[in-house]
Amino acid sequence: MKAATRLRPHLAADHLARKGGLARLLKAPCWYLLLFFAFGELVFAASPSKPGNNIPPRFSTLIEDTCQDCHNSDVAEAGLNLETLPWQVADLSNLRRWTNVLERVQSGEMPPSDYGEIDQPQKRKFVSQLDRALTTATQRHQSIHGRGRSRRLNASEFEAMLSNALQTPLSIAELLPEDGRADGFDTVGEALSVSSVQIESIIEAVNVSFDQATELYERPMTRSHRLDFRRSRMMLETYRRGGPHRVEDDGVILFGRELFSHSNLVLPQWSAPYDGIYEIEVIAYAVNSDQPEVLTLRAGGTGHSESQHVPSVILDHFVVPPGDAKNPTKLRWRGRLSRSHYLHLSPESLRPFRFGNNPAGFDKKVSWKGPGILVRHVDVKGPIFDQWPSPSHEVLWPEIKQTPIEGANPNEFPNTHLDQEPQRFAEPKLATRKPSEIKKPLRNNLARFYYDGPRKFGERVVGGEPMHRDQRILDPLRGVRWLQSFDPPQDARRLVRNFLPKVFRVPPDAIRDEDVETYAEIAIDWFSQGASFESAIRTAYTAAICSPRSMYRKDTLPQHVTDEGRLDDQAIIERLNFVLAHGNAPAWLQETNVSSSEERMKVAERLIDASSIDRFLDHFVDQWLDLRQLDFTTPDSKIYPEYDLLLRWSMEEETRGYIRRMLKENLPLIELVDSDWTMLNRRLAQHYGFESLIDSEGLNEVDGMRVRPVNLPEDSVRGGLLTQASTLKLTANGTNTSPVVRGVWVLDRLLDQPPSPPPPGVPAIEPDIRGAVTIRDQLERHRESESCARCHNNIDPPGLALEAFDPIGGLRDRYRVIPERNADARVFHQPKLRPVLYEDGLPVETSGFVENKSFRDVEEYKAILCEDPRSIARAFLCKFVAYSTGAIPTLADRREIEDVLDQCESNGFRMRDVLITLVGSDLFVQK
Amino acid sequence: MSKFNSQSTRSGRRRFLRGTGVSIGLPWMASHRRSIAADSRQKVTTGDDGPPHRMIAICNNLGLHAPHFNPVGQGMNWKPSMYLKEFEPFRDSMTVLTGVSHPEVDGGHNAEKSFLTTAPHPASGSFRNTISLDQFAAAELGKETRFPYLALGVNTSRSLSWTRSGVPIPAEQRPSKVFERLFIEGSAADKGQRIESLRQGQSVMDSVRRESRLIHRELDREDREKFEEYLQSVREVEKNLQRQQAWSKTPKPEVEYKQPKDIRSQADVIGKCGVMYDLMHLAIVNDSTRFITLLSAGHFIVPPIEGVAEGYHTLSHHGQNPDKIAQLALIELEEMKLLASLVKRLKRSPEAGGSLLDRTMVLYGSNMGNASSHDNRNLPTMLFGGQFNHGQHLQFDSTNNESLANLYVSMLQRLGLPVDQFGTTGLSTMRGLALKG
Repeated sequence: MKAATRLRPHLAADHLARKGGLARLLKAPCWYLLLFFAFGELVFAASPSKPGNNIPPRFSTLIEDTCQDCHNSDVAEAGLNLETLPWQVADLSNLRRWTNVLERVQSGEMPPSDYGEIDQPQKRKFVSQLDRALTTATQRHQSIHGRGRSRRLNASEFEAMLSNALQTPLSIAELLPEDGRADGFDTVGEALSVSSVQIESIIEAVNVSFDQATELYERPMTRSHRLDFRRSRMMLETYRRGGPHRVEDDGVILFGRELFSHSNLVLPQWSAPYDGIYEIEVIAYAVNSDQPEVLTLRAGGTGHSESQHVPSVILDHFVVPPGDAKNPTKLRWRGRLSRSHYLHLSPESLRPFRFGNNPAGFDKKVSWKGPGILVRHVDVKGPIFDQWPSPSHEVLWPEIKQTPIEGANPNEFPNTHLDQEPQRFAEPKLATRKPSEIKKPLRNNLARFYYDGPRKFGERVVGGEPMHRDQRILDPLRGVRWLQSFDPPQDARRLVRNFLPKVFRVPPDAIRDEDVETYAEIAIDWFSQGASFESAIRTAYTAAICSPRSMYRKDTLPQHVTDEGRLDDQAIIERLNFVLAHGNAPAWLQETNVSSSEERMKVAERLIDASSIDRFLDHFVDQWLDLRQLDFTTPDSKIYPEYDLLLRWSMEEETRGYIRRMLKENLPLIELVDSDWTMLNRRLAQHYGFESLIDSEGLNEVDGMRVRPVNLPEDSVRGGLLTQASTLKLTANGTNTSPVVRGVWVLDRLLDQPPSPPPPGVPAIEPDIRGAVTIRDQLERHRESESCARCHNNIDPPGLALEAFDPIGGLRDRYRVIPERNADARVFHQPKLRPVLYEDGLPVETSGFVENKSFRDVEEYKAILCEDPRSIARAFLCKFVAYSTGAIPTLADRREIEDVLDQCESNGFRMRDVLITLVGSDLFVQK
Repeated sequence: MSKFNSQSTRSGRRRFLRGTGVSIGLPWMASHRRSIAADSRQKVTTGDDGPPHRMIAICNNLGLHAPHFNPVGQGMNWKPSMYLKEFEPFRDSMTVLTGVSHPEVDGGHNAEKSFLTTAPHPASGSFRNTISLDQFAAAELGKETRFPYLALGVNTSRSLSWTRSGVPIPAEQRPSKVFERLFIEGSAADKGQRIESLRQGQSVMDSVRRESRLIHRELDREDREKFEEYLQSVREVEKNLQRQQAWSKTPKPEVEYKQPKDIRSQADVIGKCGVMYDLMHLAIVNDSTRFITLLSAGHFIVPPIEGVAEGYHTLSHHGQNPDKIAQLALIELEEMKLLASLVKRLKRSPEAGGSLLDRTMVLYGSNMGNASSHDNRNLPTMLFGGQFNHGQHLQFDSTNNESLANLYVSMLQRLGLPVDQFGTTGLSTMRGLALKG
């Protein structure tokens, strides 16, 4: 079926509103039929379509005879009244409603199966004629108005554009309001609205960026410090009272994270003094363990209370083998930290702890003999600059003199206290009395015990060890110089001329003198009103950034459409830059020739090979596969105690790595469904039950957490997106799975056939966590209703096949349930108390039917999908067209989409081929 | 003006659009009677000249446990439930609604996006939101005060407020900041810098408008429609800047309330809400704004309430477990007490021979009817104040819910706006609810 490119009604709300009345209609179908047979001929013969409707006669017969039974002025099922819907297909909203009518009939959804027989040849003729008419109308519309609407940059594109212009990585997208989406993509013009809130936050973001990019202080010195947990207040005063750490002669053993904290194992004595590159070296080894453990390095605030303000970022995961004082492992990291970042280390492969009191006694060492990671020390060096002032400063203030401000105090260099021996001594804060004598704790017996009485002289206490004080939260950087211009008007012109091409994204010679004059004028005007040179120039820069020339995508503006109706070269370069490099393309792109199809394809090849392709993959995969929703729910730790942050991180890496490899190595798109390989790291190998691969693939090495392509064992059900933990997690909630949610994901994201949302008033299926009835049984009951069955016959099967996997992507043959007696039990994350609270429930059943083909399990379901590689390729291509061109494919685009597929068929529909062929096609260079 | 850019100019400029509004140390009448009379007379359908009507809308995104919330009996004869007992003193100033929801607003937690907008299917990949109730009202009636509206968040930077074009308005979630904006006068130097920043903002907008005209000319009909949004936004920013400049000449009101410290623990939803409620009361009393929204988001972390051992969000997924429900009730009761104290304070603040509550509607509700099953029907809803025929329990069909947006139509009419529709689902006023006075 070549013509099956599925089209979506573009205005979801409008389309959904129409779906609404279906259920109501079907409650009384017989009544309608009766009416139809009794009076149908008579009534409809006497009432030709109403004036103003003007449906061409070749369609009107079937519409009047059939559709208008339910879609008329009196009933207007699903909000669709075909007596009055005008045949003015030059109007986009009418065109879309008619396209919707066509699709419903084409897919067989309408007329409903209980409507009765209709004449098949007549229906076929109707469909083909309506199709032709609407396709022509759509073509006409697109040739006049283009495929997509003119649009602004979305938040992440804006961040990329400004980072690129200022040559420094900014994180300002979070300062902007969330963007609207269509089909899950934030690149579709129609969904990208603008409001004053947006413009105000953009101006704020610009100011933050300028502050970050302007360096009005001395070049910071690169310094080295050795950080030792044994000298940290956190370890000696806060955490010593028991729980997950033990101070040893050659370091501190970390037994676990504190439960519910993001990362409490902070090194509070040091924080990054400036934005810049740092080098970190950790000396560590695993103890009491015959296998390696994973140590995670993060940067963030001082603890979870500040995490709102300094978001914690994972820098790396290290696999740390067992060792001893003589055989530790060196772990190295190099990368960018921001001012005020603290370092955190946590042994993520170990169970998190809930703080309790040390059973051995308050003043005794933690006696726990379980596995842990000993960290001897952390060496940190930085900030390291290749160049000063940084390139960002040079972009904004080329050759502008910096003059010291008299009497201005520079920020103190932080961390200097680490250059001396510690001057403070740990306070003994713990009571030495027996726990029974201590007042009732604040809140249940897991809470902390506070020392609440005077300490007697000579009482045996812990404390007195030397320790460094905590680093304070750093003040914002103060400028100690000002920017002095000796010829403000000339400097203003020079600076503006230098700056405009960067934010307008054009070659320098494309900037006209009058543009320079306009913006320089703003600065000169402010300077003459007494503003500082810096603030005057910043006003001009801000105006340029907020101008539509910088805020709007050139490839969506009609001025960039040539007489032949395609985009001009500048616009094509803009599109390639934002699509295949997310605005970070290497400089050579501006110089390339993209006018012919072959040249464009060559450029696309080069862009895919460039490192900037990862920026494309990050954004596209996030939106195409919904990866951005991976954290929407958290698995219940009672039922899925094995879920941890490492698994959460690894599952995302698998999917990103998988798509990356498919693109880089040009693998067939059918491998989206099934493959004999996947991307694994140590944690995933454990999760998927591939322990045997850990040694053979070197996953116990220090870098064993980095995902790599691995051939799967013969009998494995893994391979392809459907069976990846990320997909299975993001389509489940925290406690259970729903075949409906998973089915919708498969249809929508993988097959590009999004089902309609449920009609109003249908309650969500409430899961039964006691396990008396499976979700499958509940769904079967649901499908007994004809109206529900129409959609659920499509939605449920993929979901049923995936019932073989639990909410965290583990393979199961029985559901896990919490028995009544454990319903109130709490999980104590203390070393010796780890009861498994769940037990096996009802068995999982994974069989189903798709289009009259039956399958027993997910393997067989995948095999059915693999029979039609063209459909899988088409679905991928349609998603990519929507993402890259900012317009969802329409009837008029079908031919070119099929052309692209034809060209890729002989080579087996490979990912890179499909992308590159599309770039070479006419579709890609239309507005 | 100094020739160098000190740190304070930077932060001043950074904030330059974050309007520090102003409000007045005087009661609304002294300073505003004239402008209200001049500006809104044609809109006021009730024809009275009294103090302005205001509106507070609060959404708790985890809902309330229905068996503890739903009263027994309907009309004027209802017995308060466990939760509603907290509101006994205001029985005559409140209406309880059950069996209400937004048709076609589904998607579990996503439904909070549509709580004040009514836009269908917020979980859809192509969801497009519409204007929220407060923004709709503030666009017409928000010009009188230093802040046209306040959009607040507890534990979240999302708010209930959405612009006309469906763009989310970020929430202010730090009480210390809110207080600063409402009541703290900066130094003379700060003020000077702020005014310079505001004026520079205007230069930026001037320039943007000039450039936009060039592009606008070349667009065809379809593209123009979308681009108009941008131009309109630029005009709005300009107006905001002008307004802020005008207000910066009026001193902010002085209040007997210390600038609150921000509670950092995400667990303490109750504590955080408490401070926000204090500020909401102060903002209304001082006529700093007339439209306030607050979205409060429950968290996974255990809240510091005696007897509660699990996270709020976790408890909301109680799966009918009695122990979890008991703990959940402890949290929800605290919330009810807090709300009751806000209503009490409004009731005790005198205004124009009555109380502030007479002219202040407080809507409390949730996007979640049953958080345990993520059901978005049967939303627990209360409306306080604003002079309706209060004292009732309006009970609607629990399977075929009444549209909650109808309540919004009633509220807009209370504000004096001549509307009989809101969104696609508010097609009339709320049945059984009538304006009084």
